[in-house]
This record gives sequence, C-alpha cells and structure tokens, in this order.
Amino acid sequence: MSESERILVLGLGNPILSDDGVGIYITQAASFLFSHSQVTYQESSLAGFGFLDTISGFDRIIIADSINWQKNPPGTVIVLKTEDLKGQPYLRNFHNLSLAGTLTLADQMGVPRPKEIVIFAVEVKDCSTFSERCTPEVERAIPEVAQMIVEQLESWLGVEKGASVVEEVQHD
Amino acid sequence: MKKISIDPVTRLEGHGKIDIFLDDQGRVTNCYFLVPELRGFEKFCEGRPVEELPRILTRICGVCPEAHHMASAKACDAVYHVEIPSTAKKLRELLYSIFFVADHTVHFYALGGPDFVVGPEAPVAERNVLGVIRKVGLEAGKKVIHTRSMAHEALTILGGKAIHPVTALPGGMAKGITEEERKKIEGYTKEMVEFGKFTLKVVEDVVLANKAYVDLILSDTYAHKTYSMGTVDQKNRVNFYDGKIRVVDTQGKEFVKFEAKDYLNVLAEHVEPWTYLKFPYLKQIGWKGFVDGQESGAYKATPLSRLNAADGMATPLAQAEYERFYKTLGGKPVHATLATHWARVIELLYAAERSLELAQDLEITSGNIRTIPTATPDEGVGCVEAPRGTLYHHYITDEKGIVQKVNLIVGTTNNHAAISMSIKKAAMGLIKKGTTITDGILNKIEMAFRAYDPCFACATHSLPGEMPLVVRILSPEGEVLDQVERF
Repeated sequence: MSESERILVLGLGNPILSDDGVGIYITQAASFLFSHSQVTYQESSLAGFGFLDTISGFDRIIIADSINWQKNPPGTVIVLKTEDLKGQPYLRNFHNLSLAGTLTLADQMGVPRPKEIVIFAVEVKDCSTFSERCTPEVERAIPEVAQMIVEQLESWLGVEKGASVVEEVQHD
Repeated sequence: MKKISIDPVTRLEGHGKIDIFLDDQGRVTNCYFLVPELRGFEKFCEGRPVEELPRILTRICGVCPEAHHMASAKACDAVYHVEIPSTAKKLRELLYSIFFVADHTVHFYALGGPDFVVGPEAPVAERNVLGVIRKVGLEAGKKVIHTRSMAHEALTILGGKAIHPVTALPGGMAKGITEEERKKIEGYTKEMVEFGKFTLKVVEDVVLANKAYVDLILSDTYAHKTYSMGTVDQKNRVNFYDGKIRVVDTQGKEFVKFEAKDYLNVLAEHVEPWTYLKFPYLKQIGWKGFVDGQESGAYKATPLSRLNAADGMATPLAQAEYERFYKTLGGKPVHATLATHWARVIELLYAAERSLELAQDLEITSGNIRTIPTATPDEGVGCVEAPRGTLYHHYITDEKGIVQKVNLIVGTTNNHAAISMSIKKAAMGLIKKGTTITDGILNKIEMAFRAYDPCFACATHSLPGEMPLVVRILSPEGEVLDQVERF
C-alpha cells in the first residue's frame, strides 16, 4: 500500500458494559504493541451515523468488536472481511444502523469510506451488567486478537514482523 | 388471546420489543413496550470519585453522550456548590447546541422523516434515508453529511476528544477555545443556520403541502392530551442547557415551574411488574394508569412538549417558525404526537441560531473558564434537555466526594407511559377484527413511537447489528399462527 494511505484501528463497544467493551480493550492492547505513522487508533461507543463520521476519510480499517451470535463459546474469535459484509441500509426504529448498512449508505451518498475492512469480533457472554472488566472467558481473547491486529497491520504496511513494536510501554 | 410481537432490530439478546395482545376476535386488548434490562448501574457508580462521572457516564449512551456529559457536569457543580464562570457556561451551551443540530438532523432525515418524505406506505426498502434523498435530491444528502461533518469537528474542538466529550468538569471547563477556533466554529454555525432553514423548507414542501400527511398528523389515532414538560429560560423560552423546568397542563396553562434540585417534589416513579423501566409521573396529580387527560399524571417531555411548555423561542427565525407551527395546527398546546417531527426541526433551527450567537459572543474566548471547587461536596442535581426529553442526574456523595448514590431519569423514560399509550391507541385504531397485518400497518404502529425518537442505544453495540423485524400472531396457547417478517 502507498505511504499516503491511512489506516484506522477502531475499537467498538461500551467499556462500562462488561464484554461489550472487549473491542476497546483489544484496540488499547494493540496500540501498546504496534505504532506507525500511517496508523490511527480510536475507540467509539457510537452507533449508526456517528460511526460514519468516524470512519470517513480512512483508506483501510480494522475493527475490533464484540459479537453476540450465541453460536460459539464465549471468547471465540471471528474474523470478517469486506466481502462478508452484506446488507442494506434499512434504518430501523431506533438508532440502529448496522455496519453493513452504514457502508452501503456511504457508497450511495458518495461519502469517502475505507475500501478494505477487516473485523475481529469476539463472541460475548455478558453485555448487560455494568462493569469495566470482561468476563474471564472473553478477557482471555484480548492478547490473542491484539496480536492478530498487529499481524494484519504488518501485512498491509509491508513491514517486517516486529519492526514497529513499541519498545517502552508505560502502563498506568 | 392472540399475541402480536413487533420486534425491533437490536444488537442485544433481551432486546426491546412491542407486544400487542389480541382477543379471540382479533381486536387489540393491550400493548406492552419492553426494553432490555441493564444490571448493576448504581453499584457501578458507587464508590467512585464524583468528578469521574461526567467522563464515564458519557458511555451510557452511544447516541447522546453529550447530554449525559452536560447533565453530569452540572450535577457535579451542584455537588460542590460551585457557580461556573460565564464563559464556561457559554462554552458548554455552544457544545450542547451544536450537538442538538447534529442529533436532530439524523432523526429527521434518517429515522422519523422517511415516514413522511417517502410515505408511511412505501416499501420498507425505500423508507430510509436514501429514499428521502431520492425524493428531495442528492444535494440534500450532501448537506446532511456536510452538517454532520462540521458538527463532528466543532464538537471535537469543544469537547476535547473526537467522540466522547471530556472537557466539562466540576466548576467549569477544562479548556477554552482560541480566536482561530472560534472563527472556524462561527463559520460552521452560519452554515448550520442555513441548513436549518433548508430543512424547514423540506417540511413545508414535502409534508405540509400534502394534505394526506397533514390529516395523518392531526388524526385522532396519533393524539394524546397530556401534560407537557420542558426547560425554559427567564422569559419562558425554550432552552436546552439551563433554566427552570416548566410543566403546562393539557390546556397549556402553567402547572408548575421548578428548579432541577426539586425534581423529586414534582415527579414520582410508577413501577410495573412486566418491565424494569419505570414510569415517571406528576406526583401532585398521581398515577392513574395508562390514560391521558387532565386528571392523569402521565406527561410528555419531547420536542413538541418543550414547545408547548414554553412561551416561545429565544432566536428570531425559530420564533417565527414557532408562531407558524401553532397557527397551522390550531393553537397551543398541540397534542398531535406526529407533529413532534416538525417541532424537532424548529428546535434544530433554534439550536443552529443559538450556536451562532454563542460563537459570535466576544466572551467565548476568555480564559476564565473554571472556578475551582472549594466547598465540601454532598448532594446535587444536574438537568438538561436531552434531544429526547428532560434528563436528570442526581448524585449523593460523602464529604470526600465519593459517590454514595446515583439516580437518573433519562429522556426516553419520561415518555415511557406516553409511548405505551400511543402504541396502544395506534394499534387499536389500525387493527380491527379480521385485519391482515401488512407492512404498512406495522409501520404506522411503529410511527406512533418513532415520533418520540425513543433511544435505547445506551444498551450495547455488539454485532451482528441487524435482526429481522418479526410480527407474530400467537394463539392463546402460544402457538404461532402467522408470522410477518419485515425483510
């Protein structure tokens, strides 16, 4: 990819609702592992249009999110790519515009949006209890997914494995 | 008894839904509006330093973090008994007014507007923001996106962060704005005023020019005579950030005007066994069940209620629209729930005009933005008008400022009883013996509660994001007799 391209690593979720915050924790963990001038890390609890405002202007995005399919054990990592996202921008009763719907909307309205998207989602257990920590099953997936994000970034940027590792990390 | 379920899309297990119960003759007997339960909020807040709450409570809601940020900061000011400097107040109101422009824009063009601009009977695939754009032109779509984008940037400057604002804190603001930033925001707000005027023109051309729509708005199916609540300034004009809370009765006469700190003297909360969400009502009148009228304590706190509860708007263009609104709809107060959409657009114009006034205020760039709290913290209430209704944050702390107790009444909760009544009335009006449930009927029932812009985004954001909307008709034994899927 060219040096002018911008990559967004976006953690989605609510960090005060248990497992719903997993995407945000993953993004924070990845930002400790890898840093690059073309990469921006951001977190968001916004839905629908707010999401469109956030992703507009980036060339590629990696999204870390929770997923509530209830098809897999909590903590299972699911990877989705652009071609997996299908959907129409049906706007529902509430403020719920799906990711696929948001992208379709951006295309039809001529809003610049990322052409390449990879989503890392973690199957959740509890998203309805106020807490700043995930359940243990989901928490265990955080370092694994953070590493997967770093590998995706290295692959896109064509950098050597481990080349942009943040050497000194200060934790609070 | 048969049961119809309208199951709105959500990202959550245990999502919000509407249950409509029919008798054996196929007539509506009752409706229940249910929302997901989130657990442990009080416990989560207790034991934290109170000054953390303005930052952390923005996470309650993925749609209106700014509203919680402001109510929370104001509650903290009250907890610490501190008067914030004039510039800090103006900065907060500027941030908040711009947020209103962005939020009301989305509602009109993407959520509520499609019913009118595209039509309530239009296929679901067209009844969305793209359908609106097709009808009013691609230029309109570009204006919507541009307005959102300007608001996003202005809110980043004022809120200190791209998404969840962090700048309001006990005693004022953490940062001010430079002259360069002020100029930038002034430019944006000028464009927002033009956008507000444009949107009112859309209302006029597309909605008001269509007699069928006006008849629908004024039809009895969508009418409820309730008390109206809204925040007003010293001249009883609408204000979103500060003032006293005024309630007018079903005739438009002032019933009570009170300060936020006294809210528990005016409001009480009714509990039903079938939902965890409470039903606030006017204490002095009392809870009389899901009924409207002068003798029922149920009230509304919506854009329409705010207009009803006030004597006017504080900016010239919005005031002219306010007058036209009541002239067109037959005088004050208006009880047509669907007129809330029009009221919301008038508020959008007011918010844009107010933002421009504040951006042009010479004091806005002053460095005097915070009064350091020195008093011993104890208890405080903060209140703002959120886009969906009056928002109350009430905190009690110990002498070190550690939270002991938190109580919130959020915008949509105020309207819980009214929403339930509106759905029931619409369902009873639209579903009769032998009625086939079509998409159009389903949508017209949804319209009854969509007007309130009910928001449960304070739930979670987990994928997969979309689930089909299903209407189920069940036998008294719970057997599914018929099922209609939206897509």
